[in-house]
Amino acid sequence: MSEAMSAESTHPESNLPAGLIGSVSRARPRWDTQAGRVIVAAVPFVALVGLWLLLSAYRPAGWQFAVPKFGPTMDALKSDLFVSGSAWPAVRVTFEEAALGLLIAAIPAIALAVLMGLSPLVEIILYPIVVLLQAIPKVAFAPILLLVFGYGISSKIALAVMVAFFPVLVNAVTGMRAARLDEIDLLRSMQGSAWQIFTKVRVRRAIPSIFAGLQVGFVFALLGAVFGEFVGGTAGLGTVISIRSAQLDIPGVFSGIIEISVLGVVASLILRLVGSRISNWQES
Amino acid sequence: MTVTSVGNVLSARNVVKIFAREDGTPTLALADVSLEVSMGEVLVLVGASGCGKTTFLRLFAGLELPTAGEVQRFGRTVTGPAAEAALVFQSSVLLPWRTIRENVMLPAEIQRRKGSEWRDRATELLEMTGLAAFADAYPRELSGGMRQRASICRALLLDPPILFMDEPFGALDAITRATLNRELYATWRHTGKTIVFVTHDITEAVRLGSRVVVMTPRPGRIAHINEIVIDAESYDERIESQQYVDLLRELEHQVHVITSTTERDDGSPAAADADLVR
Amino acid sequence: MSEPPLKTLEVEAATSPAVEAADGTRQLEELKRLVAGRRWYYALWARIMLGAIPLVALTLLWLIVSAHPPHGALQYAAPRIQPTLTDLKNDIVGQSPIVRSAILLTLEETAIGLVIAITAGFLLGVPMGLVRLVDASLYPIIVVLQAVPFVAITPLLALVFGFGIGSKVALAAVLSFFPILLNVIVGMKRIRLDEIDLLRSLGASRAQTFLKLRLPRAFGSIFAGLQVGILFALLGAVIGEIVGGAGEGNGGLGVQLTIRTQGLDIPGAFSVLIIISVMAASLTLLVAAMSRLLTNWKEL
Repeated sequence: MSEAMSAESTHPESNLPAGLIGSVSRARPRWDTQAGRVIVAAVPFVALVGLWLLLSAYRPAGWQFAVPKFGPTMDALKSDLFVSGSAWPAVRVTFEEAALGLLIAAIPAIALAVLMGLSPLVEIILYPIVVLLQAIPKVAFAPILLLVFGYGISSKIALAVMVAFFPVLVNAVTGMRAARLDEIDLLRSMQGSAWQIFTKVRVRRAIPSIFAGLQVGFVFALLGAVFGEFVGGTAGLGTVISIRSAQLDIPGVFSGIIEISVLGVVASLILRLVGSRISNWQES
Repeated sequence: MTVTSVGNVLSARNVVKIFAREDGTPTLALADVSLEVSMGEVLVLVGASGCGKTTFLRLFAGLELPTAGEVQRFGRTVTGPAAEAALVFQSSVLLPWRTIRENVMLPAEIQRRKGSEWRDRATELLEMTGLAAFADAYPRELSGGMRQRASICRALLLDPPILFMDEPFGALDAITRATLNRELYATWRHTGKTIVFVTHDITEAVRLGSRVVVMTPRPGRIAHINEIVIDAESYDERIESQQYVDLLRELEHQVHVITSTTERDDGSPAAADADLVR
Repeated sequence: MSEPPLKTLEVEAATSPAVEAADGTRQLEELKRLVAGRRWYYALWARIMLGAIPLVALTLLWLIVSAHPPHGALQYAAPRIQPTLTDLKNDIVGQSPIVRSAILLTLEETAIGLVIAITAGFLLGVPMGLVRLVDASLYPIIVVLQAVPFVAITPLLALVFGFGIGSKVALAAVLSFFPILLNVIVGMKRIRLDEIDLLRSLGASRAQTFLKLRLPRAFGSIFAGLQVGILFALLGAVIGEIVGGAGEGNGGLGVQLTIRTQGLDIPGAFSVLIIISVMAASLTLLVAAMSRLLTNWKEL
């Protein structure tokens, strides 16, 4: 959209008078540069931290459960990470639960999606039940899983599997649907074998969606693991938070939340990087 | 076809338009163009892609503002779009969730003109263009040509004195295009409106135009202004006359000269420019 | 009838998997129609019958397991059919109103949480979708906030909002907020430049352009977001109940689930699970049906 502005013309071909006033229609608004975007994006973060500091100093009564003071929270965080180091084993436990859950869920999910993508008959048979099962809130099974698998990590892995399965499946199915009829026809016309068509066309087109599914799946698996620990756990970040909640150690709780969030963000970023690397490699 | 110059409806004086691309580099779309459009004429802008003809149209219509120079409508500087200047686009831009009649009535709705007269007028326009049976249908049920007819009805709803048409028939097949050319010519004869028409189809330009302006690309400039003088009473006589054939040849020659001498962006001389339709 | 090549730019942002899946379905339907020919399994009757096969298989599996119940810990995963169905019947139409009021309570929490999330989603999402600056500014922090497992603050929510309905509503609202917000943003960004030009040329005000153009175009995305959102709201309510407990009164479905599980009443627990699942499925179907009704003009 155009904006009226004064502009000096630097275009070599023009005979414009210097200092002309008029409208230069821009594809990009002027703040929209690399640096500009970073600055603009940083504002809410700075504002949030600022708000927190403000509330730390002038906290209204009754809010102590919602907003712990900045100082003690940072102390708790520091302690968790460097002093007592209690964060690391907890992170490891929760991460393992989520990662194993994702892995165990992803293999059948992707396999199923491939089957559904290759055979319309299989898809017609399976699609309704998948949609039905997807609507069921799997976290509701947490108490039952606790009974079946006990309080150890296997119940959390089981919950993570249940929770991660469908996002991976749905995205993998989307990926298989991204197969293009014209590419398949092209390979067929070149007498390509079924395996070749599968790998060169279908897999290539499916990779981005599959990785998106893994990303979402990991986030869900993490949530499932943490929730499982909440409902009944002996180790892991969820358990830590649960215990600290009971002890009303609010700075500790927030410290734990920050740790889980960082874990989730880092894992997502890594998955996204790996995904784009593989996509780029596929393009070559 | 003689044109009575009752006064200049549209005027552009020393207009320059610069666009800034995604990476910020400025592109000169129009370099110092001037043009006067008289009342009641069909002014056709012709040229290859990138010659600025659409930009020129948008400046007259008020969808863009000039970087330098002045654009006027009815003697007043153009500051933005107005109901007096209706637009017809290449894609009919009918809102898919409204019926054809509701789409045609859109201008009145936006301008908050109340009264059943607008509904009647919409129906009347649809009847004139043979779309009466589809008034309550949805755009997806119509063919491309029918949709364009509907979008022309919409443009005519408020009876604007000026019509701006940006390659309105460019997306249609040649047969439909020929039919719609004929219909548009008849509508123009009937209503006497001023029409600014952008196309890259030279045949269309000569069929419809009172004057045909040929533009060159990079940067956009006016190369030739051709008076289309054809002594014919009816459309059929017009397109069968010798003057028509001569003008067509003349324009093709002008265009050919331009395309063979224009350098492309990468410095190579342009070969037969596929954009221009002979 | 062929679609004219559009001289437009369609601006799209990243979509959530739910939205992508919806688009993929339509694509697949087109592919199927092209390829179908006389394949028998594309007929409606065939689809219904074939789709029912897994359901039938699962039911049979359940019957077999009921007849030969497993030993050990696995028995908690496999209640026998008859007690479960009896409990289900009693819960829904029996004398004790506990489960019925639990259903209503959970629904109430879901609904209020959803309304809050929709309001916040629009208040934030519309400016973000319309104004590039706001979008560039707020999007990163929203992405980061989305990574925070709000499940983890459930105990805190109980402390802040009390042990009653408040903490459940808060969790439901927070969980359903993000998918709704993201889809509102995507919907607002679905513009066609020539449609915007058209309305500008007609002299439309910004409000008119918003109401008559951008909002209808956003419907598809918005409903996709609502579909995910309503599920998450229900999830939030149930999770809040499982972690937060009952407060006064008998509590919602999550509370009933916990009580029965801890009491080792497995058929009863599964009865509640079935009720929750049916609720989830119906809510999703409801939104999907509304979406179909309101956007059936969208063939582009």
